[in-house]
Amino acid sequence: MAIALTSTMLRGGAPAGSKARGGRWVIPVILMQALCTTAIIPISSLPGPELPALTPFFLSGILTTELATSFLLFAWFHDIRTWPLLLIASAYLFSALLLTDYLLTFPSAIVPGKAFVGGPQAAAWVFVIWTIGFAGLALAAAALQWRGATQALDPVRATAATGKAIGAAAAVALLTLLAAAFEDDLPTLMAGPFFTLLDQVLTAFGLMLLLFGTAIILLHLRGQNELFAWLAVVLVGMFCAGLLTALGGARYTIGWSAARLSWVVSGSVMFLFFVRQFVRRQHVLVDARQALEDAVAQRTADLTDAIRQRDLLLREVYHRVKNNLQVVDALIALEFPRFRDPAAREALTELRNRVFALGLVHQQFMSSEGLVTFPAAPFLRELCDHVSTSLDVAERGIRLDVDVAPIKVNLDFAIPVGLLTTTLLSNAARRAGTTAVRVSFQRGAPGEAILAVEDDGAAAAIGTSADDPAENPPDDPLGGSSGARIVQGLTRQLEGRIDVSQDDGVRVRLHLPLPDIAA
Amino acid sequence: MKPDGGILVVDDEFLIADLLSAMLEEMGLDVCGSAASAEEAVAAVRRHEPGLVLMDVRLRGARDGVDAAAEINAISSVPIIFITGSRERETVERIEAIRRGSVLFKPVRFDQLQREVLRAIAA
Repeated sequence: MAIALTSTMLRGGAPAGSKARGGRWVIPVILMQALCTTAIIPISSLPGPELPALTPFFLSGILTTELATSFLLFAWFHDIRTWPLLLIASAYLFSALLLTDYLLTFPSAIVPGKAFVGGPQAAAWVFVIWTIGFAGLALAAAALQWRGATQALDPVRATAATGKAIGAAAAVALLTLLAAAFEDDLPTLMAGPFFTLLDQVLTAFGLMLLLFGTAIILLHLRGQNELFAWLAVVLVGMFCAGLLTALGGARYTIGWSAARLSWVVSGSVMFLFFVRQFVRRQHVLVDARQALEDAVAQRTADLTDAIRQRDLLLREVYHRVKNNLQVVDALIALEFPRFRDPAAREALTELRNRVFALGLVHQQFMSSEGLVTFPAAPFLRELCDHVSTSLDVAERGIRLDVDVAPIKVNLDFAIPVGLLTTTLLSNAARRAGTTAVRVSFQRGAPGEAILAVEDDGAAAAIGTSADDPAENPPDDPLGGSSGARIVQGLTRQLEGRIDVSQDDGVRVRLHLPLPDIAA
Repeated sequence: MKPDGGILVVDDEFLIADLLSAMLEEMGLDVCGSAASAEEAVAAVRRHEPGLVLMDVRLRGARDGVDAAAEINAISSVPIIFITGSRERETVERIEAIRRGSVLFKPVRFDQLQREVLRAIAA
């Protein structure tokens, strides 16, 4: 269990401001305890209500808080590993175990009319040993803290010390219970309902230990260590309880009953210390979480802004590339009138269409949402429309159908596909006897798209090599020398394959693996 | 002067590789093959044992041209001319760390390529 307490709180240091805080509240609280006790002292020996059932009630309350406090202290010791903290943790465990003994030995606490273990002296002996033992351990802890024994033990030694401390507390508690069970051999502490002189002496010894422990804390540790400041309140509470019990002189007197109340209060003090620390840490955590959320929100806003800036720049880049390609197209167009040779004019038209295809890709990216992909359908439709216009397809009575599936493409895929479409559509439109051309881009096998261009033109010889233009005849269905090179080269670049058939026209099908983003 | 084994052109863009091959052939040099990825480039060097490699930095696949050049350096003493569009310092530093490597930035003119190729062959 991680106890969210700072090690400086026990190692002599203290959190900022704790000195003033400790100095402020400890003395008034102790004065109030003393005032209440002083007010009860004159009536402490008067008989009070005899309610044995109250004993298990208050004992179980103290027992629960002392056990919980002991657990929290041992858990804290696991992190801090100082001797004073081990002694305080042991004191609380010892207290919880001795309170169990007290519950078992107090008359009528469990069994009506008598003690569950031992006789009339048993509970008195348990009580005396509890008071002296707890006070002694607390005094030792305060003395060690005062003398500066606050160096952390090494973890192995700390674990061994924890085991020994728990074992010792359990052994003393067991021995006390055994001794109480055989009380006949023990000196008398109770004479009927009254306490004997020996009991008063032992109680006085316990009170003296409590007083010494309190004095060390108030004089030397109060302003330096918050834990010991709270322990001082506990010790004063026990002192007041012991004093009222002694002055009451017997069980069920006003003093004796008031002492029970004081024990309940003092038994809860250290537990309240941890509750307070928990609440304080909760506030720190809430503040830290809020700060973290604010930082995340700010970082998110910064990143969003950075992404927006990046998108803006990327759109600008796409825009400028498209514009520059339009400039290239315009330069080619300016040269166009100089050429009268049909082959040269055809080559220039083909070149302009390819430049247009590149520009169109960047235009698609410019208006795309994520700037990484765009849908192929509007791109290929516009491209086919442009190519067919440049080749007077409609004027020549050729019908053009374009059928494109909703497939997203990225830059590395769209550029070759645009060039392939331009080349194949130009080939089909120029082929002799063509009256209809169909361009389709559909999904094929999983992860594959098929770009198909079909026409009803005259059959042609098929070339086989992209490396040697001479092997591609001018009427090659893939195009003349440069057209075939481009189709075969770009298909190979996309790691695709070409399927050509010629039945009542020419059909070219390119099987192209889709990039991961589109697949 | 012609390099023994011809020249290997490595570029993932077919049109660029085609253009470079055409320029080399116009210089009267032999192109022994082309490759589009680092793995293909290394395999082509083993197969053709070229006298010169023109290497693009951005290639198909996870490994780039500098990775391919480092592997080629380990198996061959063939000189390598990097042809890249990137002028990023990290990329240039990686290229400079490659032994027997020089660099040309795209777009490459015919005379630039010819001068660098002849220098690499003569070295």
